[in-house]
Amino acid sequence: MAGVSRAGFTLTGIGLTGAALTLLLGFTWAPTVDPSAWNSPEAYRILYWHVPFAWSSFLAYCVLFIGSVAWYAKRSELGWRMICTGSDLALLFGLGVVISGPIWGSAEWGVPWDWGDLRLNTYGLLTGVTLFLVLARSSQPDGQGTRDTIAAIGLFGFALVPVTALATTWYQERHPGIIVIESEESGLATEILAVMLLGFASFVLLFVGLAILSDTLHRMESRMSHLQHQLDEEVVH
Amino acid sequence: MTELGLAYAAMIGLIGVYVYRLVIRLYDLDARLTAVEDTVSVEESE
Repeated sequence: MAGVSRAGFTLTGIGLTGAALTLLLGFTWAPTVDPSAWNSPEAYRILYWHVPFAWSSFLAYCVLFIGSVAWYAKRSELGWRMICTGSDLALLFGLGVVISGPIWGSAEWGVPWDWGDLRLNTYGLLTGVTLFLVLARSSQPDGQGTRDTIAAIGLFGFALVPVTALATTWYQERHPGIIVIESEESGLATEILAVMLLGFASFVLLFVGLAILSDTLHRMESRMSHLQHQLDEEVVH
Repeated sequence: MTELGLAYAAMIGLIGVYVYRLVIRLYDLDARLTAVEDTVSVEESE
């Protein structure tokens, strides 16, 4: 695993360093927002990690979707590993979003969750689907039937991604809009956007590093399973 | 600021636990895989 893992470890290390730097700059360099526009101005600093977490989760859903299609089209082992990696990372980043969002909501809105907000609810459902995928993978015996079911649910989950991503454009409720694109409307300073872009780049590198390491792990598990099967066969015959 | 601290603690905790568990599992599996491959290659040579 040496060569591939080295790249994975390096990218993960760079990503974690960049994420830490984003946090540091977000707290020390980026200015505060207009206190008249926000109920809890200081709490806005959650977005330096909350938004890249959400972006990274969407990348993970894309990996999950490509893997599901590859599994259905060719019964590809790479496709199955992409499903494993995509669902693991989607759960990691999705949980980060679902946990940190309501904490910010409590400070800014006065309530942790708004059951009338399309983005919140579709994202919550998406994270629930991902939790099911990860639990199903670990609790069900590995076989074609299990893989087919998980791939089908992965495809269904991906259908929610554009709805969730564009919910604030189509159906604005409480959740803030797409602040990087609509920065003039949201009144964010350029320093804030610069730190956010650093956060985005850092989390993309972290995502790629973790995806490489996760894929290496699943490849090794598959190889281990194959060797154990081979040893069992030799004992029997 | 308390909410902000809680939210970041949760996200740092998630990333930290995930990376730690992933690295531990990688090294553990690498050691086990090496041992099994050695066993298989010895049996094949016999």
